Amino acid sequence: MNTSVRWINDYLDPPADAEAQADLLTRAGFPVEHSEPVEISDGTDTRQDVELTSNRGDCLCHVGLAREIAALSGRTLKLPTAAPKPTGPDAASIVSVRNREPGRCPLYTARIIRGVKVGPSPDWLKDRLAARGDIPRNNIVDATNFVLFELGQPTHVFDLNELKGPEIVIRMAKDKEPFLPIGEGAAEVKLDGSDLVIADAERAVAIAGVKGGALTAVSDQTTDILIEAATFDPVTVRNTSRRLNIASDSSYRFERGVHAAQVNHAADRLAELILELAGGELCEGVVSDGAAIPEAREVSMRCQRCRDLLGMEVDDATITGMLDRLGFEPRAEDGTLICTIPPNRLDIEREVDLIEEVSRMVGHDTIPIADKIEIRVAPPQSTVLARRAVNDALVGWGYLETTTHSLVSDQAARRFLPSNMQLLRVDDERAGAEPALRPSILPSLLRVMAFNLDNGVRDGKFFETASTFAMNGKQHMESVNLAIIHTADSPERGLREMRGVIDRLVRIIRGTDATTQVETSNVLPWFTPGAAIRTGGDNRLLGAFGVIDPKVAKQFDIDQPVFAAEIGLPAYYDQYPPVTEAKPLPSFPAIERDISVIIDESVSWLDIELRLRELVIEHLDSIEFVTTFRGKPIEKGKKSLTLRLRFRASNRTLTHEEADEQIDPVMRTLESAFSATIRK
Amino acid sequence: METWHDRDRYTDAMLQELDEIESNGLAELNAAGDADAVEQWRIKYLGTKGRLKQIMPGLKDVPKEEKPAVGKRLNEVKTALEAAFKEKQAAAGTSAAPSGPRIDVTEPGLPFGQGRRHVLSRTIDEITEVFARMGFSVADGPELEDERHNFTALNIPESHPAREPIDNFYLDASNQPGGALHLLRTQTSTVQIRAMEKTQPPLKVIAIGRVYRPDTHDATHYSMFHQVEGLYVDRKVTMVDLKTTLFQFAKAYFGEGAEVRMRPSFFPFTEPSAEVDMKMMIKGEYQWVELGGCGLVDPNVFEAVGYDPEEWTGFAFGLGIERIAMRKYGIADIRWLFENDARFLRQF
Repeated sequence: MNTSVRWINDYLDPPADAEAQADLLTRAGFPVEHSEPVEISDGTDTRQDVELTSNRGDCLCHVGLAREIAALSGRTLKLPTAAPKPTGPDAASIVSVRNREPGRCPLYTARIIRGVKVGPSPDWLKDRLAARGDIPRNNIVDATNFVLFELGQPTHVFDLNELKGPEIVIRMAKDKEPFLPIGEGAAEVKLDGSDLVIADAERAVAIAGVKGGALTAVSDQTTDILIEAATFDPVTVRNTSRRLNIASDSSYRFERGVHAAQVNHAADRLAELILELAGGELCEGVVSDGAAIPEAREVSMRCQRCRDLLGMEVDDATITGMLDRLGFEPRAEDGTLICTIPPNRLDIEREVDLIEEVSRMVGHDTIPIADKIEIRVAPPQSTVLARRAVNDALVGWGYLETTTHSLVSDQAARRFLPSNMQLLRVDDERAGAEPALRPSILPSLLRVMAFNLDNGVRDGKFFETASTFAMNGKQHMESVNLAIIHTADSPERGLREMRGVIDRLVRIIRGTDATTQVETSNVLPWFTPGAAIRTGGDNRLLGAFGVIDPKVAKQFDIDQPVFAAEIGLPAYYDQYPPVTEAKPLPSFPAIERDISVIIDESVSWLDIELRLRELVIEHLDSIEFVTTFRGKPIEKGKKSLTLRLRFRASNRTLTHEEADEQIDPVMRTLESAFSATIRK
Repeated sequence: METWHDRDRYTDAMLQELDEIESNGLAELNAAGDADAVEQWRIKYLGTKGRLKQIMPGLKDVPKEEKPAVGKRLNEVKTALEAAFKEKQAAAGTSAAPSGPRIDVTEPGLPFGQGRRHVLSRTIDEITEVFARMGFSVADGPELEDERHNFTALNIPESHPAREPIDNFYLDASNQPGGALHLLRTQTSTVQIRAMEKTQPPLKVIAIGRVYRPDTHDATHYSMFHQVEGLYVDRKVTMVDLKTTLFQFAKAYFGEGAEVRMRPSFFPFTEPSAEVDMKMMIKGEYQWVELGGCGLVDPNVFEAVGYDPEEWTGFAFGLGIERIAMRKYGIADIRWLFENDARFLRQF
């Protein structure tokens, strides 16, 4: 809120300069964001923009801020008084008020002044408003604005002669009820049954707490006025203000709460000002309709509890003095202070609210910093260590970690949605073109890849760990995945690198003996080719990897093969680190035998490996894939595959003959099961 | 009983073989013509399965009183062969003819392994590490949250403006299968509630993660960002503990010259509440940066999770990760963090 330094000083004795005000307000919890000198009729004022918190509607005015400064600095607060003298007839003989919504309008008051002369405001008033940055209009409007920014009470002035009928009604708007708000270029709005309005006999003349109507507004010709001062339900005001997209200084204050107890004082202050500035006669009495003004609340605080929470010694007398300066009228009873809360302090309801007041008054800058903290040592956490180990490994292998938005476009999300799942989406209006909670990290990584390819980064390798989302029937699913993407010179290399990365990561998390198994059925449609990958042992689905379908890649403007994996490895992080037990190394050397076979392209390494594992091969230590070769002299449609058998005995050195004996059945199996030709 | 003859036999055999290794070794080395031959010689005599190594086990059969003499001789032969080898090698080096392809040692290194952690996740790790040393464990919770954890239990009542659709990513009505409304969490404070629901006090946790708030993207706004949330609940936790903890963190993370400043503020889930600024090193000098909010846990929050606020007190704080990383590394535009340009990622 913009403030005038001079205006605040109107209520302070002694006054505080701009810097002192800024410093004190910041200490109170209202930092000054901006400060600038402003020329006024008799010199210079300073405009300061004060940032308020949403719980302190009482400080949305100069008196409220002056009260804080006075309480913190020991200055005297000089409150404005008001006692306007009625000279006219009974107001109730001119107008009546019917409040049909006492729940949403706890108090409505009307005062009548007749015979005013609308004209320019005097310099002192223009200066105050201009210093804040407001444009002075006329004496009536300026007076309402002055009271608003002085006391925080919004008021409204109607041209009495434009109101139809003798009765003011507070009611809900009718559906589609038209209303033309005040303001240059304002357009008519259609109200509905959720909007609270002030109406005359025929129509809505103001949206309660939000905006007055153009047709009943004060004009240069106005002579008789009705002063409205009221309180309205914060939620009703906010909903209407949001729905109609009309915000005002009034709605801002009503949304934060205005207490009924301050209404009459503010209305009297306004009436007195108008009489002074525009003349006229104030009619006798106030026409009002509303609930009884709630009695002042009492809230008590244990001084010891206050000290316990602050962690510092503040004696009872000091605490009492602080609360007294805030106007809480504390009285002591057995170490407890019973406070009577000023009506405008809607935020003070509980003991802890008072403790917060003491902590503000003590000043957060005076809270001491201790020399040390007490700790209980927590053991290192598996999930933290595992994630770090995985990240470090990937970085070591040259991968760049990315951070991409969890929301993507519908189109991108649908391409990566498993067929048994539904997409989760947020409201389009908020998310723009990207309302889908991504079911996969891959669309985001493809976008990153495309962006970098465009920038000439051809060898991009990226990874990200993040939540993915989908809906399974009525169940929301959120799971943390690790996604990896890279390019490569050849499909074989790109895929084998990806499998190698996955296997190494699995071993990092699950131990050096951990294995994975691929499965070429039920491959996710965005991989062509691709495979599902399962963990060895428990055979749980870990994820999938493969070549991104060129048609999908194309949709991301990528024309080259891209290799990707998305795995649920993070679900295993809580098992980290794997149990490690040293094993004695083999005492005797191994014998290796390489076998090269020419086989049909349709025969996969997995087929061969699984078949050979069924054989009983004596002294077998391992079966390893060595390489695949295609091209001359191998005919088209075939490939040459080399595998390595390693033999070892635990108690002696094997002879070559012993190894060779085992090779024959292997070769025969390859020939019979896969029509393989053994290359010599 | 063993005889003298046996002893003599082992000793003599060893000494003889050592003589033979020395004389033959030196002769063969002398004869070695090229680097290959010298290497073959090294393997034969000095290698791990070389003749000197092979003879060593024989030492155990030598009688005790003879051992020093045989051992000494073994060392002499070894030293002699090694010295001769070094000499030969040095000579070969200087006399080698500059033939064949030469290796240009001035060529630049290969640019392998240019992987990098994302600057945000690196910052998260660093912060986690410091808080871990201060006794905080990491807690986590879902990003897709329900109203209870995002609002109600955090003392943000039904009518509170923070719940307005305009400020939240609520799921589409079709994605809300009855019961509580779900939304992308707007703050990591949700994890406070989840941690307290699971654990009885005392507890000391941090939660770090993504949060979401609708915002038009520009240099300083993004609709997704990261927070680190801290929560400490114990008996007699005070504002002094809060300030001290933040101060110790600042010193450990931002350097010896770091400072902490708190000023009163308002958050529904803490009271008293404060904004926290830290003085951190930016471009060679310490500067104040607004980093987030903190306060003592509001009794209503304790009541929402079934803790007795008379028995337990606690503090909570939330700091912005982007703010820390951007100021620390001079990142002028928040969008750079999420664009993932490899040239940007590789800078950290």
